[in-house]
Amino acid sequence: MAPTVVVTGLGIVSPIGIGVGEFWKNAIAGRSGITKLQSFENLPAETYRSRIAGQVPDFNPQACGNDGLASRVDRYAQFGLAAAREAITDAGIRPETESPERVGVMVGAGMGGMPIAERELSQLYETKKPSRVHPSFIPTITLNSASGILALAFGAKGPNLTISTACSSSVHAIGQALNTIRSGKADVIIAVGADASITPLVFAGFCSLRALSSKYNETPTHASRPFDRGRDGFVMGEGAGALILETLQHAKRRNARIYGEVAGYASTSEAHHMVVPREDGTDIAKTMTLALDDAKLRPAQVDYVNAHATSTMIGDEVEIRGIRQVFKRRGDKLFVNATKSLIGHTLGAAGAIGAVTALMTMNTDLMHPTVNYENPDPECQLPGISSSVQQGRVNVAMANAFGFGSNNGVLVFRRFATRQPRSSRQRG
Amino acid sequence: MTQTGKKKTRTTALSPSGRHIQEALATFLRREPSTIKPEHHLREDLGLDSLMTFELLYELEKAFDLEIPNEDLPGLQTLADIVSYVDARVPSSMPAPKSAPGASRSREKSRRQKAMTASTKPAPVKSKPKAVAKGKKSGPESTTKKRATPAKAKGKKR
Repeated sequence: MAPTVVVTGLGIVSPIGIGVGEFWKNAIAGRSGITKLQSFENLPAETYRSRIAGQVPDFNPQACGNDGLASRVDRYAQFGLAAAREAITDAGIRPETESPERVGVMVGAGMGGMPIAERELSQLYETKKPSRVHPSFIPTITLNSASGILALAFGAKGPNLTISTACSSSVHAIGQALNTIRSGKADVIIAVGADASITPLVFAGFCSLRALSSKYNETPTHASRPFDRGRDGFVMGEGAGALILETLQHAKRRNARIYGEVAGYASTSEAHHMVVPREDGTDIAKTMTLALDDAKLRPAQVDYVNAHATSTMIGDEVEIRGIRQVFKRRGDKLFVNATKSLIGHTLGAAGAIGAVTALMTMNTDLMHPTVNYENPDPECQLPGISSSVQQGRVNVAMANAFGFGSNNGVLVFRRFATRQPRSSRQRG
Repeated sequence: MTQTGKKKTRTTALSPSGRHIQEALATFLRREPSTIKPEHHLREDLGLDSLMTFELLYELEKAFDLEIPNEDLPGLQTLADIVSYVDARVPSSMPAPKSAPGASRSREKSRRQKAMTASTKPAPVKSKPKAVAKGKKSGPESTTKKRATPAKAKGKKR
């Protein structure tokens, strides 16, 4: 039988806090991390249609450790390193006491090292001197720079992969971590999602795609408003989330604190459109159902959904439509919230941050508010969405992430201690 | 017949910039310009999805040196909407751009095709238009992208 996989450590870098403690305190307080966009050197923010973002303030790469590793990678990987260090400390794992080849790393990143790419490219065309391209450019831009630096940092010699599926990247990184441990290929996996690409080019690209909110440039904290009638696009964010996954046996042997079980995972493609989800929500519903099947759970057992909910017109509608199809009447009893209302859309980091949020929700029985949910859009209304903190027992939590390229990913977490006793009562 | 005649009159009544937009849309959709009527709804009649609509608006912004804010999008549902929107913002004295806005896109595509056939097909390909057309849809975009010079790359959207 496949081993049970549990989460024993969490870490986060976000616009509302570096470190899970600060993030959670601000999330529960409904504090928005969306601010005015800082100009890009000689490109004023005013030249952009959207001029707001969820930026991580005061990030000090030295906080990643004084081993010099952070200086070898770009901002997204530094975020990943900082989040992973926190998660490892939180888990109480001492990497040097583990068998190195039994510790793996799975990273999800949507954009990767765009800051250095843009800097080096514009410099090359300005100077016309190829010899001025920095020698570290290639090892930094290579998409697995984060998973590589994490392996170096923790001596993790086991499976090491980077998954890039745009905004759903890190749900798949966690899902692959789950399946790798289940298949016996590793005992511990550091699963990380990271992205930091609020750069002149990427930001302009999302503006041209007309995917970003532009109505609330003067009132940044109002801009990210999932499920609200006044929403007009997502707000770009940046950050990282990290989780330590290990077998239950391994966790018990270490006497580790267990945040919850990673019970199920599913991955699908809609094979439909590069940037628009299938309108009827059937593919999203199918992915949620497959994840529940993998977890051997029924929709009626789910208490909470950390929605992908980016605050785009169509995305939010389709997700709720999918939730209604899967959960039917249970949909009226579900707690649902949108972490992006607080921090914007962190792209490749969104899945991992959603997973950290789901586990914190399960451990505190508190659902953070979906801020700016003031005028519920009837197309995506559920009783369990609220602009205030909600309290309730959460035994099973789901985290959704959907990405460009027609990509869907869903994770299911289960409270560890209550696996057997409560299920019989719920079955009725 | 009368109906077609009536529609035709309306079509020819388009302003110079209107005809320009009509042609752009035709190039974009690979249709005859005369089959696109002012009253045609972009999504319902012409089948443009949101991404295609944004691509079209991008071409018009570039051709007419316009900024079309997101707030204005709900008012741009038909070809006629777009034409009056552009006409209201572009001085009538301003000559329509030489090349149809959509043309940059099709040029881009033919260049992509060439690059693609050059790189993937060492044998002569003249007689195989189908293979070329097929190649358009997938794959080669990313390979050609790497080779594009920065000036050319500016005109691309992906």
